[in-house]
Amino acid sequence: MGENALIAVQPQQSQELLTCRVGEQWLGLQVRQVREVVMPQTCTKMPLSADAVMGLINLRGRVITQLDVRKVIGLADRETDVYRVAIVETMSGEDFGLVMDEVGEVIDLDPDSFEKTPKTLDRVWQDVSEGVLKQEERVVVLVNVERFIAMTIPQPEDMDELRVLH
Amino acid sequence: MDQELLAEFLTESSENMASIEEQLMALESNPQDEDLVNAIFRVIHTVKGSCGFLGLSGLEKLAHAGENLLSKIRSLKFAVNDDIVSLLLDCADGINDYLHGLESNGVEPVLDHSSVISRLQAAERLVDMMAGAGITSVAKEAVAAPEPVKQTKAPVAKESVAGDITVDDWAGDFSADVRAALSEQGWHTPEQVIAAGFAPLRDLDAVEPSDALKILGLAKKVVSQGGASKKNTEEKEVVVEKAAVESEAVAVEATLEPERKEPEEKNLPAVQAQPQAQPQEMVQAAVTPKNAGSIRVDVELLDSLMNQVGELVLTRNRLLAMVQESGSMEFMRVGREVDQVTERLQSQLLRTRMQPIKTIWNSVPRVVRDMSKSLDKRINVLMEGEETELDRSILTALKDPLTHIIRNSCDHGVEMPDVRRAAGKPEAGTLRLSAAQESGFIVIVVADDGGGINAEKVKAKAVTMGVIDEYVAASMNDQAALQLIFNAGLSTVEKVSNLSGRGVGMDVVKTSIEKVGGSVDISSEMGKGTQLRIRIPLTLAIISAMIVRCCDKHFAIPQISVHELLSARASSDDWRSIGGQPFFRLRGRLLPILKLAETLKLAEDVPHDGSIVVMDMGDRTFGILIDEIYGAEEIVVKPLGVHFQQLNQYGGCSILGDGSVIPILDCNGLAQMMELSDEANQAVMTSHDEELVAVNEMQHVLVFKHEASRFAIPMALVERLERFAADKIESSSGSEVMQYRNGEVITVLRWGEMIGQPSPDCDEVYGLILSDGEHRMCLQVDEIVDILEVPLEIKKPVQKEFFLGSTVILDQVTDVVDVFDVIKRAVPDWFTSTPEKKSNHVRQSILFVEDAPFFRNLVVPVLQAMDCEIWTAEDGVQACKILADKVPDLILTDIEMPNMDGYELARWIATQERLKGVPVVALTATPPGEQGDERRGLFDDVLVKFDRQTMTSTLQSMMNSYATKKTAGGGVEGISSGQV
Repeated sequence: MGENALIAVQPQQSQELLTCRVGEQWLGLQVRQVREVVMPQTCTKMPLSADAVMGLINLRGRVITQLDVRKVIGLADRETDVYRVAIVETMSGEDFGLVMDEVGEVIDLDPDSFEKTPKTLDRVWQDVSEGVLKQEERVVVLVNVERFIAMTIPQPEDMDELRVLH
Repeated sequence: MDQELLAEFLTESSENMASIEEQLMALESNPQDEDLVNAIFRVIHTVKGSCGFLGLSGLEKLAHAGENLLSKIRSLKFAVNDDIVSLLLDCADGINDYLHGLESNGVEPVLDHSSVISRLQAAERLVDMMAGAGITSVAKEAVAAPEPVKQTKAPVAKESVAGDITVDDWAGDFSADVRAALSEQGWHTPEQVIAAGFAPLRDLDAVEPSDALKILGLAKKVVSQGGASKKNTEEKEVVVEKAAVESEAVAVEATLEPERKEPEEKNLPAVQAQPQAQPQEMVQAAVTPKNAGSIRVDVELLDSLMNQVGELVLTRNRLLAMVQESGSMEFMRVGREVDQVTERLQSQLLRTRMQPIKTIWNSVPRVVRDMSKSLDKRINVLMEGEETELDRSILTALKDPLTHIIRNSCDHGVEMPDVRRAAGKPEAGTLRLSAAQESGFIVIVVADDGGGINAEKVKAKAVTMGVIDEYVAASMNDQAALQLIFNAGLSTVEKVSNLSGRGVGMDVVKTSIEKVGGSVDISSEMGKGTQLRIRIPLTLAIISAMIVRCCDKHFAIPQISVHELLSARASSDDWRSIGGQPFFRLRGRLLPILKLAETLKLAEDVPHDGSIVVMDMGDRTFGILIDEIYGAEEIVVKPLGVHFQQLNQYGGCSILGDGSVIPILDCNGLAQMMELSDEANQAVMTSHDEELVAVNEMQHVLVFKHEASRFAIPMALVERLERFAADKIESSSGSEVMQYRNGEVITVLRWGEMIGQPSPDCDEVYGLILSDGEHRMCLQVDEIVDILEVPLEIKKPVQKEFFLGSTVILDQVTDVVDVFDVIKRAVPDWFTSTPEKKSNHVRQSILFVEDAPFFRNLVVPVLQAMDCEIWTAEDGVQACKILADKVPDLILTDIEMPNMDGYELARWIATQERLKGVPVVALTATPPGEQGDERRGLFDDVLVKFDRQTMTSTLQSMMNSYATKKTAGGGVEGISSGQV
């Protein structure tokens, strides 16, 4: 009940986004889904795991699966070991670490500059984005974290087959 | 009365009753609240239900009356008024009186609540009528309408007088619809319902399947209480009549002055009852109220506490690592305290989650009884170790597999009585369940004395099912064949019965046991019975694991399936490659090797070099080749995320002391990955016998260090390695002792002091727990180097105390410790504690032939402890010389010896007339059961080295029977035919 009341106080449309950069692309994550942003942690690679899985990290006693966003969208490997990890929470209750090249700032989602995902954008974003936010010098892709993570989970069938279906 | 059950009942009821008053009040202000009525009904119902179980007849009557009234209120949706509420409160008070009496005396107090009961019954009928007449308020009418009360008397009495049992008499708890449906079918008595069975019951429209079960259960209960139904009716009849007579007056009273008058009346009989209760109180003085000091805790809360402690353990590990690095004494002291508190917290919290195994065994006698009834068999159940405690989550997971195993034993194991009689066995079969703790694990054994499992049949079935091919089947030994039972879809019973063996079976049992980290294996002897052995960890949350390195990665391997560790250098000549599959020869067997680096795709073409972790999965044994073994650690198991669900190789992960995450390997998953080619499979199956002769007498030794010197001690008597705080060693009357598991107090000897080089004090020490299964002691050492398998040749024998001599291990001169000297020092009566009195008896003699001084040293004291004369020989030739002029009562010989081996010696003995009948026993490092026919024919028995108890008893009984025959036959020659 308390939660509802809190939301009611806020204007329906106003949402805050955390901007992150991967390669040349800026992404927007819903702030309420991001628990925190952390520096690179000691990461344990898990042999035989899916490509997108960078490994496991220990975040204050919790083991979190770290996913490399670059790998998911098919970019070349990161050249430096400077990166940031956005710890996001999902509906399933499991938290994930999303590895970004850079974390920007928190911005308000301005309904006026919000548009549908343009067809010209990379295919992978068509699948996982809610739309884009056009700013003066950049386009921020609004990422649906649930769908993004679901995409990285290996299925019993071949992953490629699954991609074709999308 | 079962005091434990009683305590449980009291705890539960007191809690429930505490809330009932409040609920009744709430009901008063909100009479239409059905949920409240339900809640109150449930409480009273539970109390009444438990009473029957505990034989609390007085309380039961009171609760029953209350329950009936509530049931009426509930089913008629009757809006209660304050009079009914106060009546119900009186009822609750009465129940509390009983509970208090029970709590302080442990027996049911004698109280008279008949007036409350009759008022409850009167109210029940009133409610019934009022509802029928569409009147919603009972109180005033109750006063004004005594006539209807009388009317109700008539039908009730009529029914009772008829003497027939009606459904209402015993199934009153169920709705009128249900009862009507039952009567319609002509099922009035519980017996009739049982006869009808479950299916027809369930098929009745008015009866929900869940109710059908309950009705059947109730019917059985009523019947099993010895025709209680009828008696109840009679009792009820009397009460009803009395109540009916009184009801007028009571109803009036109840409305006029309920609060004032009733308590007085009620108290009077209670006071009178006091003198009666007192003698009981004196008798029961020893019974302390069990309920005191126990509370009920939500399991979820415990689980979350457990998680928190798990975190604490991990943080503690990290802290200790940092403290160690800091080198500060101050920190170390604090660190140690944190360490100890954490440890205690962890073990005590683990204990709160433990429940005795009898919580799931309780239903076993019933299951077996029902099974044997329907199968026309007779089966007795014996249970041992019911108090053995297990983590509740494991218990829950074990319930179904255990029931399945038990059903299997009843159905397929125990034979029909006539078959048993024909086989010379008692007609009633026995099912034995036992549970015991064995070094961090619980071992549960389910054994029957039935017909056993025919290994050939299992093999044949496996071949037809395509599980194995004929060649493999032919070369398989019986033990391995039996394990095929756990293969999916294998059921040996030709006729599928409806009780067990529906195709799915033992494979499901195996997987569910493995799911909780356990293992299961089966052994059977034709005609004698079958035994299933389940081994499970005490708890799931924290496990002991080996930390290993493979390439540059670390992995944890759960200790439960680790059988042993081997060093397997590239230079070792025990490596084999068959059909592309690497093998390692281990004591004459070929052990298939899984190269972890290749399996996990960490590297290709991994050389045959590193360490091998030998895994024993019950049905199969294999080795995992890794680069390095770091050691064992207690780790907290954490689940892996959704990305790893497809990877069977991992069983979870954990966090190490340095904060890094480590994957835990799932050995079943790994085993599945290792599909052996047919060629390789055959090699495993057939390797046992042919290489046996080539067995080098290898010894497992533990190497430890003191100052700069290295010492080796044979592993044979080392039960465990322990690392503990130095202050665990306590002084007791001049010697040092420590508390071992289960509170056993064992002697501690410090190696440093024994060799005259006391070591400096330190916080933590290593202890080798030495045990022969009977006695136990602890040898404290400074540093443990390794456990190795080496051919233990003592190069330089010495006459020094505590030493056998020295040898070279790992290119270093190592002194070999004489374990028996050490033990004699710690426990002087180790070898003489169980002497068998032999008064004026001629001392028996044993010839012991053994080439290795090391083994001679181990065995001779054991033989001496048997109070026998011992002659020793170093090989067959020497033995022959001794035998030329002496005839011992028994010859005990090693097999592998220079000059003349055990086989030759045995053959020679067989040719000697004088030695006919003298038992010849071989002593070997290889367990029996795998030996070739050669050994069986030549020796009277084959014993395994170090199995002291078996050795002593076997040898003694052989000598005794030899002696008897010698006397009976009047001479040695007379018995030759008697020996095998």
